[in-house]
Amino acid sequence: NNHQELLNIRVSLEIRDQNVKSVLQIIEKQADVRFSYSPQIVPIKKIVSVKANNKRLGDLLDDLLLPLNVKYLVSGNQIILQKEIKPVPASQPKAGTANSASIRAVKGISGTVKDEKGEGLPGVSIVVKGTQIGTISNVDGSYKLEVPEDKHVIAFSFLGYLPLELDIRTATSFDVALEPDTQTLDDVVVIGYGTQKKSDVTGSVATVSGKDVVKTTAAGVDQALQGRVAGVTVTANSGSPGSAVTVKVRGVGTVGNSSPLYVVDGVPLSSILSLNMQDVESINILKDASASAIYGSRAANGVVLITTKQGTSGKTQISYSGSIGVQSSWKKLDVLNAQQWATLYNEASVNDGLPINPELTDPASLPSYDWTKLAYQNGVIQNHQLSVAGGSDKGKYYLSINNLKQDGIIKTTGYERLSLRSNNSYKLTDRIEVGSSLSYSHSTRTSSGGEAGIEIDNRLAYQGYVMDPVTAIYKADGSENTSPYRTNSISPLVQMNYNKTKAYENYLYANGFIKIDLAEGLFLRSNYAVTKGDNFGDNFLPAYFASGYQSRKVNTYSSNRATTTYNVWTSTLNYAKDFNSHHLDAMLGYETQATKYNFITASRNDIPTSITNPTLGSGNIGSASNGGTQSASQLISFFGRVNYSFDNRYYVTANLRRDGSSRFGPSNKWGLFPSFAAGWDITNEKFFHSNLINLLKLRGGYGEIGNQNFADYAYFQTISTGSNVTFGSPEILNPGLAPQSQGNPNLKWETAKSTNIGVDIGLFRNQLNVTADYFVKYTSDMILRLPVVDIVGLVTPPYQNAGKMKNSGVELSANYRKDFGGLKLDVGGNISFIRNKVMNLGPAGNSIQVKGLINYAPIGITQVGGSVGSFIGYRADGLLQTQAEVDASSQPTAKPGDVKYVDINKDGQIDGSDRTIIGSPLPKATYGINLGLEFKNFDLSALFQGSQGNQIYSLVDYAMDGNVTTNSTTAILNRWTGPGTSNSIPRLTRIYNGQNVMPSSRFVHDGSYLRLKNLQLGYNFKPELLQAIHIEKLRLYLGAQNLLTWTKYLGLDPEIGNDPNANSPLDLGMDRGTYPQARAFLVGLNVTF
Amino acid sequence: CEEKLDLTPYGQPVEQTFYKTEQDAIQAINAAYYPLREIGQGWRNDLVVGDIGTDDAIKGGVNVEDNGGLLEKETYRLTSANATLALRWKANYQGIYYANIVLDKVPSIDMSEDLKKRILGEAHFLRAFYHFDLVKLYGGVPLGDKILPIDGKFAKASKEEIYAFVEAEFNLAKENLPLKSKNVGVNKGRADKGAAIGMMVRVSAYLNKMDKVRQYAEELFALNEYSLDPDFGAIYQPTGEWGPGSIFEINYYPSNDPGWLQGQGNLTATAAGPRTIGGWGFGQLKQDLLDEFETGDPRKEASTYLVGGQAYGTGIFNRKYSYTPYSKYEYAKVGSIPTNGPHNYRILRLADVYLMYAEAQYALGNETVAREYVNKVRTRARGDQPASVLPNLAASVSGQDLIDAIYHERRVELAGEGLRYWDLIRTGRAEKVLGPLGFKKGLNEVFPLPIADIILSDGVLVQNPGYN
Repeated sequence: NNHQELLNIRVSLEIRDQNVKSVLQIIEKQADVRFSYSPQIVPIKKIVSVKANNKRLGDLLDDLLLPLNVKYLVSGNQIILQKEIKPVPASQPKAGTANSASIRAVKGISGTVKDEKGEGLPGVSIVVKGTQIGTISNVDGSYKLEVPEDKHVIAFSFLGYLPLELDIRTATSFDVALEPDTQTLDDVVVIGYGTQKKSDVTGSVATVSGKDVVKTTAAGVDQALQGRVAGVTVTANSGSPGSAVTVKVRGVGTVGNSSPLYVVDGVPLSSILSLNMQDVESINILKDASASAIYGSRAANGVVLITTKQGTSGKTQISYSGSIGVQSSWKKLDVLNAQQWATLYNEASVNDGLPINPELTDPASLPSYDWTKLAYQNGVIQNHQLSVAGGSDKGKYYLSINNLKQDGIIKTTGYERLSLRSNNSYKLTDRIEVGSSLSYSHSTRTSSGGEAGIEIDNRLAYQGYVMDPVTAIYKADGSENTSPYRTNSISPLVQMNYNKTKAYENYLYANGFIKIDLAEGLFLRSNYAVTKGDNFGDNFLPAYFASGYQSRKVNTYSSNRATTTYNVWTSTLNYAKDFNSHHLDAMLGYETQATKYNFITASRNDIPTSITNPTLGSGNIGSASNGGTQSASQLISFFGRVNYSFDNRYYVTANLRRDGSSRFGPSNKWGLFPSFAAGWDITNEKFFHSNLINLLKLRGGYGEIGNQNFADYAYFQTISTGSNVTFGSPEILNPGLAPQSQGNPNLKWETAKSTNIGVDIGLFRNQLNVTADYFVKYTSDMILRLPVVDIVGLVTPPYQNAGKMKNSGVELSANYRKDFGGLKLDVGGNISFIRNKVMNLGPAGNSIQVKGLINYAPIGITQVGGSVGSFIGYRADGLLQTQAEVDASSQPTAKPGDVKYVDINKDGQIDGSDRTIIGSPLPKATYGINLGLEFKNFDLSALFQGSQGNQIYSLVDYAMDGNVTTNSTTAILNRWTGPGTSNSIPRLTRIYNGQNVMPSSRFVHDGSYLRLKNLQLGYNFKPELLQAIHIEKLRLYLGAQNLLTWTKYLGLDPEIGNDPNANSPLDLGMDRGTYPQARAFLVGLNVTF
Repeated sequence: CEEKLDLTPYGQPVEQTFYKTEQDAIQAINAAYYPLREIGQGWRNDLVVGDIGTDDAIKGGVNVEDNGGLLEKETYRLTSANATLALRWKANYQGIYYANIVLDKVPSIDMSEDLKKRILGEAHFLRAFYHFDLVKLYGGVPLGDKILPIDGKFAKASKEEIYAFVEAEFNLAKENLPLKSKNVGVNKGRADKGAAIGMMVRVSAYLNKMDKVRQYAEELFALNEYSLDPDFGAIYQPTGEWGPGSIFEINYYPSNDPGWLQGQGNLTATAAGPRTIGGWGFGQLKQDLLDEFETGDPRKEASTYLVGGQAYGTGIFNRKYSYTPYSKYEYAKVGSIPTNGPHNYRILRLADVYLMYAEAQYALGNETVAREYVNKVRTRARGDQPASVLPNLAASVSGQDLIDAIYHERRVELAGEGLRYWDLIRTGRAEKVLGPLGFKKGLNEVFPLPIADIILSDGVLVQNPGYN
């Protein structure tokens, strides 16, 4: 029969001096069987040697287990190991016990042990607490046991399940269900260049499962991490589908690029926008240096390790999951109607002594035009994924195809991606495994130029709100109108009709590996991966005329092609050995990474309008223009790691990496990055006894990591082309060459030194798990374009090593899981408090300033003593109410009704030296709360995510309420019109407006928010119902994204990230008309065949 | 594997391999001209930074709020955060840096000595030109007499020191540069001997050193290179570029270079044009200026034009920077950027020198010569009109009347050329003429230095008094 077949499998192996557990694991792999046993019953740490040469499995097990007093029985694919216990007849005194003389009454109890699915669980150890008396459950889970009358508690234990204790005084029959220990410490986590048992991890590593990330409608995996992990802050830069997000692991670690490194199936990548999240199995985030230092020079901002799905041996699984939904904006601004607007415009003219515009003399007679809805739409979002997974003991495969399509909530914006993936692995021989991972994606991002530049007028999300309501949407001839009251007034219709462009990306990822077992515990793995990203666009922009400012005289056709090729070759030699209670794990590696970038662009104008599908060649050759750039970089690395643990109590890890980078000059090419960490699992100490605490582990580590995230060739003094000048008769272009910046041959590695202390606690049989970490990270020799006075004459300041920054913080996460008999609860939360301080920034007085708008003073400042990207400006203190107040103020030229500024240095005038820090875009805390409920066939999950204590500088406020030529929110109706009428909204003025809109605390608002990010309610059909239609699993669900947002911020969205057009990582928290996050509702289903 | 890490840049030379050949030297000096483009560009040239807010021009645009930076200039409320001024500051110092590179690197290049001499002369000219623009805008500024280190802190040199440097540099340029008539063919438009001398006439006038104005002007006349274009109206036409009276111009050409303001074109005419024909309406002229023209003066028609129906402003526009149908220049005919116009920005022309020379001769007591030179200008302006139009100054015009006549002549001859503001300041008339418009004596003669450099200099660079 089946059982015999299993035991008849032939195995060949030779194991010397390994513990029983390891031997069993090796047999599991070889014979593709699973052992179930309770560690209390099998002496797993005993060192044994076994040898089999094409031996029957049954015989091998006899050889191995009989000497250990362990017997086995086969149940399905499992082999259950049991202690050979000869039940002691209770009526007879136990031999050799101290109280053998007394005869005890005995109570017979019986019952069945079941697993979480309600099926009988064989092999469970059942022991009368405080005695040696016990038994093992049978194949069907049933058991019988005779318990001395004076004993009241029996204990059930089984590996992989939570232990259970039972008071038996109330009855004689007990059917129990064991809960699986989902927090099992034998879970494996992916770490750099390998895996590690979760229990052995000494650094700060957080795990997110693929099942969780797919609950979001976001297009990217990075965005889906929002709210999931303590210390990882994710902010969407824009609500436009397919746009980038800002991910910070443990704060803004440097003034340069502070994005983390992504590693997909062992391949380090700088971006994962094209990765289909449905293919993601799990995500591990290495937060501290002791964990991430193995990635050396690319790890200073944390490492996000992503494992994609692999096939499993057994039945082929075909799955489809799909969802469709609709997204829309969740907030609108109340703006003025024509009558209100014209009245206020006139009021400003009167205040300034300017004549009333003739067409505005009778506001009541003006028709109102509602521009606010022109750009908005309800966007349809869809996601379809079909996957096949399966395999045998010789090979495994996973294939998927995915189509994601999202229409933005703003017309002309959208994102569509088609992706394919094939993950395969084959066992060529007992010792050699090869595999490949291929993925290809084609994406199209549509936008309208409505997100270009840093001017609010260009932002489609706001153009309709900014446009005055007196101006008609269309001119008399039916063409798009623009406002005559404002130079740079842009109609959203113009933007949408004449500036729509598409950007495409083809992204290929190919990765092949070979793994060779060289000897027991020793293997070589070599991995070669190529990624090729082709970003391109072929766009025709028509000629049009809306106004002198808003026009394109001639149509134009442009093509651009950017190819980034990245090759990485990684080879590691891994060795693992157990001897007695010692465990050693060592790795040596070598890696090369080469990146090449090639960009070309070309355009021509005057495409004849008769051409339906223009190409470059169809334009006027006289208008031809072209250009291009190329660059390359190379990294070469050697690295190694040793993990050692003793008796599951003490853990030590040490990493060392040496990186060579082409980005540095000859004397600074190489950097060395060491780290080490230690852990102590107190629960495994003999002295430790607690029923409450079942895990208490202390961790500590230190590491140094590098950063070389800056431009190629910065150490060269390059002489730029392009400073051309026209001379001659006839005029010709003469090339001019001059430096734009200065090379810095002394440039060296930026280094982050970080220390981490953490504790992992498991309570109530691991129902409650708590992790707490404290970290301090010092970044020194930051590589930045240190500002240089314009007097030197550079166009761009050179890269220099300067300054030091400190990030420190506390991260807490907790998770509670419990099964209340039918109702399963899983609730978790995480919160992190991170403080940032710039300690040094090169020469005294240096600061890095970021402009709010092109013609607006800098409002973002990074300077010593403060945190990065702080807001600088004047401190507004209400309004000057009367002429007497004006006279007493430091603003002699002000008028009553103007904003009053605090004279910080009390010198009697308001000038640049009165500017001060008026806010910070960095949150004091970021947090997430996830909730999971399962009841019968229903499941419910919710994710809340929030940010607390950050501020937003609202340039939207500045643009809308600071200027009467734009429309304004209805708040402006409460403006100052005489003493006491308002203390916050100044009098209306056109000429002296600049006084009231200087960068000040007036435009700084609380940006805290709490958001119900995801909500999903699912229904799982009963398997019995599905069998008839050959479906294994079927789940239907309803979901909502961004359903509720609680915030005091009055703009369209409080989630303001790093402005994608500001081109500075220090440009934070400035609302320039950010494309808001959408609210989405969707329905979906998951089917497995 | 070490050599794999030795990667060199694509597409551009590195310093180690550049500055070796004659061609490198030519390309290096070409680059030193590049920042001139910023200085003559529509958003920041003296038509706006200078003339707006004088009795000649208003800011214009679509309404009073349009372009807050220029509104600051118009209302004399300039701040150190003014982006327009910051661009002029930056462009001038970039030019100084590029000229200093030429003076540092070119001498050791093995090349034709004649060419080397010319190139070094151009570098001296440009270094002087940029310093002069700075001292005119800001008064004393940090001196760029060599390549400045990036970690340096730079205090201001005095206004006098800068002017002394400017004069020395223009004189070195004069020694090295060829005559305008030798800069032909591919070199037409490069700085020449006459330009260096002519600029010294202006520099001397701004210093109110009238003996030097006379000296340099006569030196210029002695070159026998320049004459007044007989047709005043032809000067600001495409064919008038580098005409017989032109001493120096910033060259623009509507090439296909991509990018906003980055091409070889000039948006001045677009910025100054009526909104009704695709312009932006900045720098519209005042009635006060129109009233200054004598009845029948053909220069009024040649310098200004009226277009009704403007939403904002006077409706009086500057014909010297205009396009069809108001001049023979076309409106941004090539390239996708509508502002990429062909107008050269005229820096200095002979009539200006004649009038400065007249001023100098007047100051030095030679009224006859002064009248003679004013009359040369008037005669040309009159063209083929009868002598009753713009009659010559009679010998009886003398003393205050004469200097007033010279000032009058400057205002109408040079209307819309960006010189009014500086003329009023250098002749001490600013408070009287501009005071009612908001000008404050002792403050507005110079502009505030950009705040970014003030902050970065950590107290070493001191802001001009009275500005925040």
